[in-house]
Amino acid sequence: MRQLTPFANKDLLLIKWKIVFFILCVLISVAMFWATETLYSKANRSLIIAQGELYSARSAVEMIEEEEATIVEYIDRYQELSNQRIIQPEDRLVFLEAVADLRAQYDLFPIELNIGEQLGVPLQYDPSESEPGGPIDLKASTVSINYSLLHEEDLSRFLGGLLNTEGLYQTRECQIQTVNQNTQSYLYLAQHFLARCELLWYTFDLGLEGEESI
Amino acid sequence: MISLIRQSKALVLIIKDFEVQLLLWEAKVLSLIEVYADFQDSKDRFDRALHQYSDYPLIIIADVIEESFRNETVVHVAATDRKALLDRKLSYSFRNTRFRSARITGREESGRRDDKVMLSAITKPELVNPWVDKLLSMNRSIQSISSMAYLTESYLSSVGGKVPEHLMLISIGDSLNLRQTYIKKGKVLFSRLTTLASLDVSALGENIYQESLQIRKYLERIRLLSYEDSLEIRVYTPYDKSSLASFLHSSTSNSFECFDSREETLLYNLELQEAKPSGLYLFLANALQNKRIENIYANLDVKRYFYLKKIAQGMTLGASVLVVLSMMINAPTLSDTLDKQSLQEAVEAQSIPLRAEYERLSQRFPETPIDSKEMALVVETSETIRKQSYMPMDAMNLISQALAQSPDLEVSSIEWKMVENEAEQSADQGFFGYSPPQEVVPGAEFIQAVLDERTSLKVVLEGVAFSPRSYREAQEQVQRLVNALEAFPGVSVVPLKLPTDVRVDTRVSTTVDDDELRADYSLELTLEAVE
Repeated sequence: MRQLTPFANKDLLLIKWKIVFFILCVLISVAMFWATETLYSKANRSLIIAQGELYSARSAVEMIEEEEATIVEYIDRYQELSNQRIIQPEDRLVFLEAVADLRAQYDLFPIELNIGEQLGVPLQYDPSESEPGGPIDLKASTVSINYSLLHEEDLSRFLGGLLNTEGLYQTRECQIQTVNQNTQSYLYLAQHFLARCELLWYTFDLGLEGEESI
Repeated sequence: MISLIRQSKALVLIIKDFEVQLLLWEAKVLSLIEVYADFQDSKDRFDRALHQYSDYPLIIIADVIEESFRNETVVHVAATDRKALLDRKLSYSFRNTRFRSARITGREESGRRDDKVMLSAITKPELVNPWVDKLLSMNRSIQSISSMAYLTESYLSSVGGKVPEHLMLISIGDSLNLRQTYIKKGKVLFSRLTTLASLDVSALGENIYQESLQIRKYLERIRLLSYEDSLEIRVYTPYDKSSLASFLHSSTSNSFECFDSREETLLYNLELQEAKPSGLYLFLANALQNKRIENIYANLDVKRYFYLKKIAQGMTLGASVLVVLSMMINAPTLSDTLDKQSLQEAVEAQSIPLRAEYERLSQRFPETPIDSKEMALVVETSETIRKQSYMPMDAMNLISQALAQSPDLEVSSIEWKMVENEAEQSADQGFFGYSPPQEVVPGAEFIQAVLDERTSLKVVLEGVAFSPRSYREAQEQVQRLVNALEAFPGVSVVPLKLPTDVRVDTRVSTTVDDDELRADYSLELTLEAVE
């Protein structure tokens, strides 16, 4: 075997314990560095995790308090909306029934009704909200109503009745004009006015249908 | 640190032709502890001394006649080849001894400019070998093997002062041995030990003088010294120097100077028993006190235990330093680690009540059909819509009340309409005033305007004004209606068409006859939302 040092092996054996001591000390030093670094990394990681957990716990408590406050603030109004079938899909049959009932109730001339295609507008949460809720669509259908009036009250009673039925409606446009103003006498029961109104029928789509089906 | 440069302790073996002395150097005291006639004589006493001073390194000083000096020239070669060249030269010149040395002393000033080399060796290795072998057999470390000549050189370099270019240093030792060492520019080039023929101290001066002249001639002959060079000769004697000085006649070529080695050695702590404090002990004590004695003759094989000991010491020291350094370097990190662990415990302690609070709040959390944020968004949106939900009848009632001010006016049409306003550009949105357009579902522009609360209410009122008497009255009826409408809060009126347009920048056409005046009018009302 090739001699690595200028000293004979028997001479090197004289300092074998010193060599062992040296190697041991080097190993101890390396182990010290390794152990210290490992302990430091572990302590650092544990601290970061603990700080993260503290932050999460604080956030969770704040969030649950905030949510509780929000629920307390809004639950009644939400329940009312729910009772008014605003948070449910449009039921056009119910609507048509309501219009028919109103017409019968107020003895109105025939009503021409057009319900347009429903549009959906995704609602935006406050951009500063870090954890917004799920997607909600505001659905809206345009309802066009044309009918003749005996007198102006027919319009106010019908509209008042319709807007008081279950649902969220918004009148967008309404026109009332006289029919043959010069020739007709208001003393006769006839179609003296023509009313044309356009309403927006709003509902909210919370995307719960899919969840319910699951 | 100083102990690394200076000699702290050592056993010094001085080998002379007629005896061997063992001295101890410890605590800056040089003590003569043993004197042996020869190796055979030393046996037990040397062993005992070695055992007594078991961890002391050995320094061997040869002060023997059989030390030879040769000055030669060799071809100037690169440093890497120089050692091999000198080794070859030494093997050739001093084949029979392992105690040999070579050093470059300068370069020729002309010609090939060869290197000047001084080769020296202890030519009678039998004087040294038994001692060295004995020490090596006991695994003792031999620090260096040197000679009196080299001690002289070392002494000169350490005492300071101007060293003359050509110097001969003469030391008178025991048994009136005369050591003459020629030093050129501080480097030993030649040395000789002479045993004087007469032991008469009174003739010592004359003998030294004669020997000095003889050496000078020899140096001139071997061209180490030229004839015209002046040579300074310093004589170190343990005897009365004044008796010597009278015999040493200085000339232009040779200048003598005497030193009493007894006085010189007073500077050092010497315990020499009966030995005379000659120049040898002076130079040795000086070298031991000021520096480590340079190894001249011991090769690696002879010095192996010394090197091994140094390596072992180095490893022990290095390992200890390494461990201490590691501890020092790691201490701040360890401290940081402990701090972080304490902090972690504190943070965890803070988390516990929060988790308990969360559990408590979770248990009493009200049942909700949907997420609270979704609930809030639905409710807020519905209220936004409701806030902008107006009844046309309110506007019509308003018009009806206003018409009371103008009873002759007829209404033929009322068009009530919610219109969307232009979105205002927000200055704080986007960079450089640029705001990305909000995506609007096609066909849902009005719905988006409602959500953005960008709606307003407009009513267009059309009708007919009657006046049997005058144009002015018809005009005033409409104007009264306008005034009556504008009297309501939040109502502004723009007349789109008046019964008679009297502006001067338009054309007016009418038929003036006996019939009553009937003229159309049209007003646009803008109603602001009133909470």
